[in-house]
Amino acid sequence: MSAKECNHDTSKWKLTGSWAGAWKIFAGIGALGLAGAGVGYTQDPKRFAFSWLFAFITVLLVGLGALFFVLVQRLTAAGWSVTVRRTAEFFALGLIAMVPLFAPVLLTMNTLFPWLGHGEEHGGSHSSIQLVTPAYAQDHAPAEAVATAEPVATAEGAAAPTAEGAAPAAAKAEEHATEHHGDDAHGAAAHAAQGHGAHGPAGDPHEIFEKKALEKKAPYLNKNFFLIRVVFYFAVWVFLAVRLFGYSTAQDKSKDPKLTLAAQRFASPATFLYAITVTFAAFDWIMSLDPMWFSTIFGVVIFACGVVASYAVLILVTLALRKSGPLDGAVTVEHYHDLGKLMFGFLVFWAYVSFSQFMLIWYAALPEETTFYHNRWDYEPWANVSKAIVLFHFVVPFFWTISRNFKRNVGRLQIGAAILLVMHVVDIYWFVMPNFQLGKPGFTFHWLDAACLLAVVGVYGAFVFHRMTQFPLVPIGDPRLERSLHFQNA
Amino acid sequence: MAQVDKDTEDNTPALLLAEYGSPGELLHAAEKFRDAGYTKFDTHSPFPIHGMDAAMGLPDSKLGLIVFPIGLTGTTLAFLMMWWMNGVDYPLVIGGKPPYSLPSQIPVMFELTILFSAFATVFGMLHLNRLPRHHHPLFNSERFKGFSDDKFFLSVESSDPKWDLERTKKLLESTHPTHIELVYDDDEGGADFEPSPQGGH
Repeated sequence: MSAKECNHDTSKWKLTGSWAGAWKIFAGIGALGLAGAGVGYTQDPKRFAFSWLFAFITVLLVGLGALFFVLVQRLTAAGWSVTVRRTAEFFALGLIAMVPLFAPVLLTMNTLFPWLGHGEEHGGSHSSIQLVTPAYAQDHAPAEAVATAEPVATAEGAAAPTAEGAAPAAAKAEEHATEHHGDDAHGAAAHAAQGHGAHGPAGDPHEIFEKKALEKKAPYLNKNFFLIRVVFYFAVWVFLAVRLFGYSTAQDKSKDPKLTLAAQRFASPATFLYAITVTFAAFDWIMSLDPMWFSTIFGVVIFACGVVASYAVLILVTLALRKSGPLDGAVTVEHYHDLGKLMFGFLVFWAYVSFSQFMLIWYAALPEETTFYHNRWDYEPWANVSKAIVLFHFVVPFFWTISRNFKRNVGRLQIGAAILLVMHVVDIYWFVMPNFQLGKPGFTFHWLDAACLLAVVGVYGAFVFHRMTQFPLVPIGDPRLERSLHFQNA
Repeated sequence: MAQVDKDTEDNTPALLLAEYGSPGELLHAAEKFRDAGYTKFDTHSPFPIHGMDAAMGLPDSKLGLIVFPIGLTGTTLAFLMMWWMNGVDYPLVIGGKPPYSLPSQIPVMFELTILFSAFATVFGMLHLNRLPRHHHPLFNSERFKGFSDDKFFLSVESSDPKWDLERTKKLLESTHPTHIELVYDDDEGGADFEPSPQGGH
């Protein structure tokens, strides 16, 4: 065993051959996507805003997941993962490319985020669940409005707030009872019609309630603070990615083991920064698309999405690079076994936190919390998408990769990773796109979704694969390289 | 085999024990015994040796095959239990939910899966390792105590189909151990006690 030491050719772990030009292909895809997205923006700016945000988040999470992988390897002083760590470092470094790609989100933020004050059009149709009764709205309405309605409202109370509102309110109660089992499209349409009829003299009770809630959230959800946070998130991510990449590549030349120790020390505070920024970025960029809805575990769910997706990317990319030569001999079935274990573990973690979020909301059944699942389970096409996510983001990949032998079967693991990567795209689509026309049926796929995804994947991929041509694909100066090359699962 | 059976009990060693000074030597010795077709031999070292499973030719653990169906039994049992209790036997509306509703069952299904799997893992492991077992002839060897300190051992049991005292000993010698020892099982043979000519204890 020890005789094998240092007889491998470190120069072969370079991105040469068929993959050296990969970044150009990605650049081409990105240019095509950008052109399409540009055309789409002129045609349908609102759709472009949501499509771009979906594409941006999808790719961003892959980069953040890779950053997490590097952090964990540093935190645990891992020896096994040295040969695959550089690939993750490249993908984490790709977060630099995500900074300019955020510009379209800033450009369209007034369309995306209802709380920015330009979202009046969202207000009325915002949620189709009755958050407040008309009576509540009147009790909390401005004084002059209550004064005009007083004779009826105080006398008859909650059952019949106004003469004109009484009949629809009664109808609504019936509608509520049947809605869950009835025809969704019909239920929603009837509901929307009643929404108008139920207006008290103080205005739409939904709007009043939302306005009050948003006023309370304004110290956090306001434009300036939002922009400050955007800068903070990107500053942290780019700093962490560049720093971790720098430790590793500096070691390629100096072979100084002290750099490993420095990276390990750096990883602990970095993990705190990472956790805070990822959680709040998930709140800011996805959760606040529907500012009335909240879930404290949401950041963890989004984090889990990204980690699973980045393991899938790591497996697929190292497999491709191993097959075509550059990583030949560096990444073995033992590494895939471990990557498979981690992907499987985080897959279960994703299911666990996703179900926990659903379970608590379902159990408590608070109207302002249930909107999230109401919009995703009671409307087509989202009901089917939700079922597909349960099946193909958990059940199928779970049994597909559960056994040790399944994970060590590289071809099988590759299929599992591919399924999970596709489902990651679907999952983020499911998080973002229902906000495009919240609480309304008839959502359809738009070519802009694909164009934006191609644009973001292309630019990110071009950046990552171009960096790969500049540095060795394996940390050749790492003191634990030998251990990783001969690593075996006990 | 028949020849061995004819011998008196006291002359049949339970196993041959060889001592090595390094994990590498032990690994190569294990490879030799694997290649010679032995199946009832074991290696003993103070720490896990990477690659030993392959060197000994050990098949995959069967534990997963025990745990998986029992875990699924737990899932199913939890589902049936909750369905019977909440949906059939004593329907009770809690929190405005339908009496029978799947989301409330999933935590129970999950927990019972874990519980059954944990039991299956522990007891399955004990069964596969033939535990609990209170004594093994290996512990009759004074030298063997070094296995938890700085020595490496390979033991071949005489119940191995390939067992032949002379040939097995020769194969052991060819692996250059620092010491070879015949270990007798004095547990069942009563060798713990001084054999008395009267034959009574």
